[in-house]
Amino acid sequence: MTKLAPRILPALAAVLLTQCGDHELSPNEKKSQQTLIKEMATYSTAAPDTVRDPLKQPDQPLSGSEDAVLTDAPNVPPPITRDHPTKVTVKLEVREHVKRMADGVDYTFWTFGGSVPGKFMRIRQNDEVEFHLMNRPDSKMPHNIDLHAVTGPGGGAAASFTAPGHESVFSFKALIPGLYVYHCATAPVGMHIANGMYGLILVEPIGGLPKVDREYYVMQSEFYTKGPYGEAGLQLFSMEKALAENADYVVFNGSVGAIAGDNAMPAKVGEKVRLFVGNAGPNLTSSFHVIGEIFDTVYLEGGALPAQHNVQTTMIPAGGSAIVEFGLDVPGTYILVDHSIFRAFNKGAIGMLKVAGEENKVVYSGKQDDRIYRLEGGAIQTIPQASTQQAPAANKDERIARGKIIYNSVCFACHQPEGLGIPKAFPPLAKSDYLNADPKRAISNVLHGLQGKVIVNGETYESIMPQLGLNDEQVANALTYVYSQWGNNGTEVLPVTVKEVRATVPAPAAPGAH
Amino acid sequence: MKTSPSLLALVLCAISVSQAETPRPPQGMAFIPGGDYKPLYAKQAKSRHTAPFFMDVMQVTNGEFLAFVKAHPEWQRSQVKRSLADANYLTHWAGDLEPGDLAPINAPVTHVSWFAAKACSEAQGKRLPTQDEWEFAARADATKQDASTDPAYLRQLLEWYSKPATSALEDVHTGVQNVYDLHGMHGLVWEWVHDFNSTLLMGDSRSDGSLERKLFCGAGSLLASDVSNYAAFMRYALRSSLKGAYCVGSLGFRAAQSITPDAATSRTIAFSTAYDLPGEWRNQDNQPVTLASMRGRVRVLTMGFTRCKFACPRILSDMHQIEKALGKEAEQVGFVFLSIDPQFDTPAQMTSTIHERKLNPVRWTFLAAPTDIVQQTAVALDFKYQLVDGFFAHSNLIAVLDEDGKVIHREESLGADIKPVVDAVRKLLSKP
Repeated sequence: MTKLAPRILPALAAVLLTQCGDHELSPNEKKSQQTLIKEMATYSTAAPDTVRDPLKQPDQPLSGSEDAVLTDAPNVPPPITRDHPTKVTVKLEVREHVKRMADGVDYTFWTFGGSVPGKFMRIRQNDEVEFHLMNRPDSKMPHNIDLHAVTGPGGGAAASFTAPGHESVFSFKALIPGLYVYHCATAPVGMHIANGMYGLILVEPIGGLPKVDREYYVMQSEFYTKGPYGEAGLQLFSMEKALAENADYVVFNGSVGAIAGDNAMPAKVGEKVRLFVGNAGPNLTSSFHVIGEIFDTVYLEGGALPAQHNVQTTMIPAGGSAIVEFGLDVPGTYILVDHSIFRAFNKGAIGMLKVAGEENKVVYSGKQDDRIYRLEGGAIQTIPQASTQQAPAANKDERIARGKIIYNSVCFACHQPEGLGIPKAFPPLAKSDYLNADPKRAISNVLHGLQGKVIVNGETYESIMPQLGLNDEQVANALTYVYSQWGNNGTEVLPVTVKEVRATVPAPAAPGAH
Repeated sequence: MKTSPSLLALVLCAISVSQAETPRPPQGMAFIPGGDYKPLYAKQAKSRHTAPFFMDVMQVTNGEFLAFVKAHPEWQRSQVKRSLADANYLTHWAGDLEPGDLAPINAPVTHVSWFAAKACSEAQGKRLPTQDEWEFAARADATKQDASTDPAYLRQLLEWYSKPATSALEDVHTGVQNVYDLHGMHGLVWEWVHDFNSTLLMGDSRSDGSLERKLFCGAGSLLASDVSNYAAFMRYALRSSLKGAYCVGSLGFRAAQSITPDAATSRTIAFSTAYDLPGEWRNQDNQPVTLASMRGRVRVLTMGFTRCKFACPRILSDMHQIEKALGKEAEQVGFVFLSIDPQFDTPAQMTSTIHERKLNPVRWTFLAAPTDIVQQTAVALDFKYQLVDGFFAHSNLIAVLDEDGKVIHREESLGADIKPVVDAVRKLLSKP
């Protein structure tokens, strides 16, 4: 079937041309059509057999030797400029050690090169790799490596099986270009992967990948811990949860916030960005999405062929990868998520690409318009009317009980069931200095929403809290519940106070005002 | 024959103990009653039986090991032979006779090789426990003899594996005490067992089912009985990653003893090559042979058992091809088959194999020896084997040894190209 494709493509392009021939095309339409035809022509003439069978691709003879450049995520080694294959030596050290999983949460990671994910390796098709796997003397476990880029039984696993305090050497030739996952395959395999033993190896095709301005390395994986998400201290691996595929953490680059907030990946307007995205699993498939971007090109499943254009979300299997490319037109923060969205907002699967540069109001108008849409009604209009008819709470206990219901339907999505918030995105309500300092400010925020910088427990947050459309009684109950929980000061907020605040604090600026 | 198979000794004491009262263990040891148990890999295999035995209550400490190296200077860090212990041997000690801060006197000694652990046990009139003995004793928790299916017990084990290796280990007394009074079978260090090289999990655990058909005979023996027993997987994986001279920071040992004193075993002595190893073998003509007498000739060597239906016939056939490929040069070469099956590989049996396979008895030597001698030789040659349901699963080894018995070249995959072996032999023969 694949052999037919190159013959069909030009025909398809011709049909498109004929069909569109009648009406006037806009400049953009013309441009995209021309691009499409050009690409189709490229596929049909650029020796498609060698694209589909890289072994047939003619190449220079092997010459020279070099040590591989290895990088920690999110960095990627520089593109390969050689026009010939060479002998590459890769030295990778296995290390078991405790590192941060989330704020206040530690985990004993088993790593390739000290970090999760492991070092990024970049080689060229037909390179001959001499691979050294060193297992540190202070390791408890034997380890090995299965590189999906290796053609041969086990992908190198048996050949690289290494006891603590030893080093194994094996060699392979990178026959087929693509972006490949590597991982430890020592028994029990699931646990070695669950503890962080994976990374990516890129085998560049002959001629290399098209030039881009920036490249980053992002790898999704999940962790199974004894305690639930966010429980402080050194967390231990939970085999039960791993077997049930019930992950506590789903993260990019090994920990919550690894590429968010201050660690966001920088870029500039006008640049073309390429992400090398892997998914280690061990269990979950990723629905990889960048909020506010459309992938111009996706190399599906990490294959060598730019197979799809204009993609919103691409599926990345466990033990698989994808290369995505997109141009940056508008400045701002672009959020990387697993669009199985509870993983993003509740389990940590959030990354950020921070794009600096000139606004482009034509492509994206900016914030004034956004305000107009937010102002009326607010986010939550479905709070049942019936509740407004309910008799007011008779005492503080009743207020807390009712407030809990409101909290769990309205507030918890961002602030989390235990009031812990989401690091770098939504501030905590638990033991919150901001909250306890000023109940009226809290009331105002619930009534009117909040935008701009706030500092809570020493951390700066810059998100948007929408207006919630709650009545005085509901606001009082919800806040009284929050103040009664999680180490807060127990303030009882009365509806009369809410009424007062509603009357005295002005509503946010009207549409169009600045 | 001075030594007798310890297996036989174990069976004999099983019978005597069942009729007697619980024997009193020596000082510092506990009595382990023995019985049937199902090891991890026992999906198709029958339960395995362990005779009663004594076991050290705690791991051997740095302090005890210090006393050993004081009495036996050849085991001091600067004196030990590399064939017996690799460069990590006692690497955390401050000096030859000074454990130092990283090796507290009462903490278990680690960074010791199998040979060192064995020699230290022998110096106390003991031996290393077999894998069956160790696994049998390690199934117990504080209240039950068999906690191996108790989720709480398994979780505890995994928690240890989840913790990072600390710089200095804790006192051996701190280990959890099980129902036999053994301290710290889990949670402090891994422990050497006598037949660690019987674990054939290999590097790639995922393909044991097929890999084992390719690499080993004794098909189907390696499928785990309980795939969720991660803790056991990790022990077996660690053992299968080891060689006799390896010294690992989280690996120590404790000794065992048979109820009736063990017959003299093959003592651990310093060796440079397998030809230095002690013990008497019998050849196909029922003549006593020491490995030392093999010196002076280039040899191509394998280990196996003549009843083998799968791998060994192929290996013998490969070796025969190597002999043919060498042509006239083969006259200067010896071909050696070391049997791992002392029970069945009698001189008569070995002679009949030589006849059946039309091998030249002048060039070909088949040797058999008691279990202990075989085991030490196997470890020295980095050869793995395991008795499963009356047959052996084992490595496929074709080794080229120089005139001193040093392994110059080895092939370990069945049906591999014979050319590298032939080349290695020729290279040796061409040396002046």
